[in-house]
This record gives sequence, C-alpha cells and structure tokens, in this order.
Amino acid sequence: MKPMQSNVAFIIKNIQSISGDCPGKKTLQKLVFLIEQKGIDLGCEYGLHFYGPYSAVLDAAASSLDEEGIISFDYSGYSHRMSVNPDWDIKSEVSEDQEKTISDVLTRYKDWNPSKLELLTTAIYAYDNLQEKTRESVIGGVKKIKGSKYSQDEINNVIQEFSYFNKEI
Amino acid sequence: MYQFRDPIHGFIDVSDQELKIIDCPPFQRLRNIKQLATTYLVYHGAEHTRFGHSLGVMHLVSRAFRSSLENYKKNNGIELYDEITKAWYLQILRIIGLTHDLGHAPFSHASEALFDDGIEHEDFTKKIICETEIAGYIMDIGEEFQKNHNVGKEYDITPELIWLIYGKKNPELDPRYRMPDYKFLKSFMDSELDCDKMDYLLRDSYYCGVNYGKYDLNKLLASLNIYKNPKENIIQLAVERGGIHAFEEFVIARYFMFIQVYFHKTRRHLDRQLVESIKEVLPNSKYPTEVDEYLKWDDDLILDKIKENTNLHEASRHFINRRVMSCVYETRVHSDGISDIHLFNAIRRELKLKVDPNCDILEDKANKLAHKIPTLEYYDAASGKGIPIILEHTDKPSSIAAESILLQSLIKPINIKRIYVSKEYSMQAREIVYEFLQEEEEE
Repeated sequence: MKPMQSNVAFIIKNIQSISGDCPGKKTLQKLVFLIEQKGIDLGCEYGLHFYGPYSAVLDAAASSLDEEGIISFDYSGYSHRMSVNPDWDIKSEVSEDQEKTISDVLTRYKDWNPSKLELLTTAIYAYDNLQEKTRESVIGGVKKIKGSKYSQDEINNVIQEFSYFNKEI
Repeated sequence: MYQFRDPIHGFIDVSDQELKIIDCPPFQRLRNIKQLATTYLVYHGAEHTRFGHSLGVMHLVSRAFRSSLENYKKNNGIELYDEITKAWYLQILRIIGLTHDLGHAPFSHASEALFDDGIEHEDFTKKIICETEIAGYIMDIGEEFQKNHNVGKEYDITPELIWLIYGKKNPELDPRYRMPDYKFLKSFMDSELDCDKMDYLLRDSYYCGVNYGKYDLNKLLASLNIYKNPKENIIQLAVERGGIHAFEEFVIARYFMFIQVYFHKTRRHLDRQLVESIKEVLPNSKYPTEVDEYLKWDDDLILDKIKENTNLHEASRHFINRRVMSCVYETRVHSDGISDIHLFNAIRRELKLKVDPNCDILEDKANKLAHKIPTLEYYDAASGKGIPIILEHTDKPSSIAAESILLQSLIKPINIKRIYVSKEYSMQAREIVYEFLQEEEEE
C-alpha cells in the first residue's frame, strides 16, 4: 500500500471504531479535510468542487483501496458507505502523535451531522482562501458560496471552532 | 459569419471574431493533435484531431445553453437571465468551448506524463489563452460585445475571465467570481453531462467506425433544463424526466466507449510505447515549459523525430514497427477487490515464476487512464456531483442513478486489470494461465 492509501484506510477504520458508523464518501471528505487542518499533511489537495471542500485525490485513494480489496463499498444506499475489510492489518504511515491527533479530531466531530460538518469545512475553506481573515469576511465568504443555507448565528457558532485549528480571527 | 462543415454536427457557424481565433497558429496546431493518440493504429479511421472536436464543443455549448434556458422559461414562466446577460454568457461559453483543448500535448492525453512535475495540459491552455495572440482576439470579442449591446466594462470578456470561469482552481472567493452563475457555466464543460463528452463520444464513435458511442443527441439537448435552488445558491444544468432515456443512452455510450475504445488493450500498450519513444526525442525527456517552444510540438514533429532517431531504443523500435505485447489475462470489467484481485495477483506470480526469464511482463489497470473512469453518482447538491433530474410533482430533484434501473449496475466502478507479455512468449504464457485456472477450478 502507498502511504496515502495506508493513511486513508487507517482513518476509515478509525471512523468506524470511534463513531460506530461506516462513513460515506461525503463524511470522509469532510473529516479528512479537518484532519489536514490540524496540521497533518495527507496530500489531499482540497478545492471547492462545487459547494463544499472536496479532494479528488482522496476520492481516488478510496477508489483504489476498493479496487485492491482493502475496503468495500456498500452500493445499496445513497451514500455508498465504506468499511475496511477485516482480513487487512491496517497501519498508518503517520507518527504516533499524529495518530492521536487523528483520533482526537474524529472523536470531537463524531456527533456532528453532515450539514454542520459542511458548514464548518466551508467556513475554514473561506478563511484559508480569503486575504482578509476577519469574522465578517468569513461570514461573507460562506454566504457567497452557500447562499442563505446557513444563518449568521450558525456561521458564528462554527467560527468558534477555529481556535481548535489555531486559526486566529 | 463563417460556416464549417462538420461530419458530426453539419454546419457549424462561427463569427468573424471567433474565426480569428480559429485561424491563428496556436489553434491551427490542433489539426495536428490526434484526439485519440495511438487509437488510429487499432481503429484505422481514428485519425481525427482536437481541431474538429473544439469546433464541435463550441457548437454544442451554444445549443445546450439555449435549450436549457428555453426549457427553464417554459417550466417557470420567467427568464433565468436578462437578454444581455444571456448573450454575454453564451459568448463566454462559446470561447471556452473553442479554446478548452488548446494546451493539449502531442497525441492528446497519451504523453502528458512528460510534462514537468505538477504541470497539466490545462496550464498550457491558460498560457495559450492569456499569453499568445489569442488573448488579443478574445479582448476584441469583448469590445465588440460591449459595442453591439451598448453596455459597459461590466460585460467585458477577457482571457483572464475565461480562465477564471473555466480553469482557475478555487476561484469562488475571487471578487470577480459570480456565484453560482459561473459554476453553472462551467457545468456545460465539466460535469457528468458536459458538451465535451457529448461531442467526443459521437465524434470518436464516428471516426473509429463503432456504434458504441452513439446516443440521441437531439433528444438529450431538448431535455436539458436548469435546477435552481436560491436558498442553497445552486444553479445547475439538469435533465427533465422526459430525457431520462436519452441520458441513459449517453451514460451507456460513455461506458462502452471506455471499455471498447479508450481502454482498448492494444491501444493502451501502443500509448505506453509512444510515451517511451517521445521521451527519447524531447530535450531532457520533458516538454518545454515556455509556451512558444511548447507550441512547436505536434504529432507530426514527434513522429518525424522518432523516425529520424538513429539510436532508437527498444520501445521506439517496437512502436515504429507496431510490435505490441500480448494481453494474456484480463479481469472482469467490474472485478471485485477481493477474489478477482487475489486471482489476478496469483496469476501474475505464477507467470513470473514459470514463464521464460527473457519474457517481459507488464501490468495495466483502468485507473491509470487519463480518461476518467465513467462512474455514476447520485445527485448531491452539497458537492455538486451527479446530474439533477427535474421532476414535475416536486421541487426536489432526483438523480439518474435513482431513476434508472438500467444504470444501477454502473454505480460500481470499472476495475479492469491486465497482464501483458512479450509476443514471442504469449503462447507459453497463455498455457500457464490456462493450467493455473484449471487447477484453481479443481480446488
């Protein structure tokens, strides 16, 4: 397995064990984005695919894990949930400290629903891509991307999470 | 107004200003960039180039844009855009369609491995649009538009605007970027149902002499509509429920063309040989990064240089003489990650162990192809993946994956793996594979 594949498989396995759920592609995208925001460079190169941060590299890594039989997708539902096949002994290519950080991120956000995760990742994306790192500009950025989907209060609430990612605002 | 006679679309109209782009050397170079790389060595008709495809895409974006706006108006009783904005967006889309492939390397996707690290053909498209005479012609179109419509600079068309909409990474927070309009425009060129695919499927099918890529273009275009969700800031290209069968045909055409043409076993091997051959003739085995130097390279120059090379390595000799390796084992199209891949790996091990040590063994898999593997996604407004299907009785769009039982099986991705061996050992290798599979079956 390539390092990227090992790390992604490790994260999928940990999501399963921490949240008790097999992640769908969307949840994986958001959680890996947040893990990278904690300073762990997994090489995912996120962009705003259409309406939320998305990494084609991560999508390709998940597909290649499926092709190699390391994970399996359940194609029966809408969200294509994935799980690590039990025959594989999954080891990450990150340090022990980084493994702890991954576990910390997954635990912190295990109860967040996809919509809230989408808002948080979009707000961080806006912060990273705006020159002016103020609360107002982030709110403006999120509204430019998401329209009126999220209220000012909701956006303000997720901005409180920025300190966890060492983002000054 | 000028007309090109096109084998796929009939007459294609271009304006005098657009013709200036077409007539300039960076665009004329596309006459010498084959659309399908070495496919002409398998399907001999596949000599067509990016030139005709670029005209075809420009033609189709016009038809698709107009049709979707007309259907939106029919369904909703109001126009999505005022007349000037509509004309402005149409002109922008036509330029994007026309210029989107300008940066292709010789033999299209096949030799992209020879770009400097981190460079993609789109980076050259940007340079060609913004740094060659084409930039001036785009500016002229912008000025002409403002003059003809009696509008100001807010309706300017510049190379930078074209790139911002079509190619720039993470453009949304750029103050010039209009959300969600520009996303909507881009979806005509980059989505599961874009005009790039609409054109190349029909064109490749026609020139290869195969029927796999054909679908009902007129019905598909007539079924285009727009999904608008102001709350979530979404405007997306969509298909009306009545167009589901045409869309199904389109998806199946893409699937068949991938397997039968783009991932053809001999073509894949020839592409690989071609890349090795090009490596030998390029300075430092890489394409130049400077745009004027890059534009000198086209298919003819590459082939001339390969033929002139008196010090040919094995791959080049084989390419020139069309001497290909033999595919001796191939997995099922949708092979599963466990049993099929275990079997594939076991066969590869068996061959390495038993075949003559002088025999070369190569592997190939579908995900190495530059053409994206066609997979079907459920429509997801949050990510923009999939194509929304507009239903009459609800505002919530559906997706083709949910509406079509026929396409359900295509949700599982294509996963083909192949093993090739040197031709002279193919009989021996096939026997080894046959015996191994017999033993497996008995067990």
